[in-house]
Amino acid sequence: MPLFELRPAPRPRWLRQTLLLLLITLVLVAGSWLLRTPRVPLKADMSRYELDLGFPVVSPDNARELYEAGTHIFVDAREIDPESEPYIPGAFFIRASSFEDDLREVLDFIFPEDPLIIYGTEQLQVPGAVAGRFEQRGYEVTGILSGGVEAWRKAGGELAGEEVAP
Amino acid sequence: MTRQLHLHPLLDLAVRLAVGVTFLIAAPHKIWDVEAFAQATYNYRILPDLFLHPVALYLPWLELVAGLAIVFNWQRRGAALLCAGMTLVFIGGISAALFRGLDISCGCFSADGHGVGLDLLLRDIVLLAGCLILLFSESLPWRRSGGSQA
Repeated sequence: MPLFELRPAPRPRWLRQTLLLLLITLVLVAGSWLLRTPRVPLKADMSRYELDLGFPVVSPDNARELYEAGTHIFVDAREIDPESEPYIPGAFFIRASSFEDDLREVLDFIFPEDPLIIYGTEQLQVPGAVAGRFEQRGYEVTGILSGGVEAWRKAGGELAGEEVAP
Repeated sequence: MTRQLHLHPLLDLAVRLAVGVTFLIAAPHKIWDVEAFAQATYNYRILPDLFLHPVALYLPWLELVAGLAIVFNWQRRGAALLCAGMTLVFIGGISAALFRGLDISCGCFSADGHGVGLDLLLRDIVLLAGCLILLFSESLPWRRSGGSQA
């Protein structure tokens, strides 16, 4: 008996079969959802979810201490025009969308052994993505600034370019 | 008339078991702990918040139903198409996570399991190949050894 043969194909019934399986699944999901207590809400309460950033989150106070000690390099990961928004003085602008180009411009200033603090807005996904790209390139990422620039400002951190802010 | 691939029944069974059991193993922990699976899905950062729980509720059951259908060779084409579709979605999610440098757990077989990486991508590509073989093939009928040939 051969391992395989080519024979005339029967009429395809994949669409009907797929719809049937999707329907069976829907019935099972509805049944399990109705019977289960406590019931999982259909609309997620996003405050219950935390992003697994893969990097430690650094509090603004801790970040200020590291900044004042001058031991860490700060990286601004926001997708902004550097001249239009306040930023932490001395920070390098390296964005996820143009990571390679931005990094190439500062290769003489940032070395893989330099500990990095990445910051953005209060949404940590963007600095998290940039931190991941740094790590892929062999850089040492100390952490991501919790709360971003706004939290830094509230913690009394110094900002450059404040006068051009709206 | 178009012709179609027909596999030796043992080879067909092996492919069905490999694909079907993979989906069957993946489903229970997600069904049991929906919110842990929703967290794992959230970590990929590709799904709008509105769809997070509906997907976390539906996808594991779809894995279970499609996996069972594949193993028992019931509604084979439909099940293989669904498994191929799900695997393509997984490949897309893992690729996006790798591209963005996310260091996250894949959420495939347990909430805190294997991290996303190229090995995982390769595994899913092999799984996709299995799904496509099942989608575009049929099993040859079993014959007794030494039986009469037509």
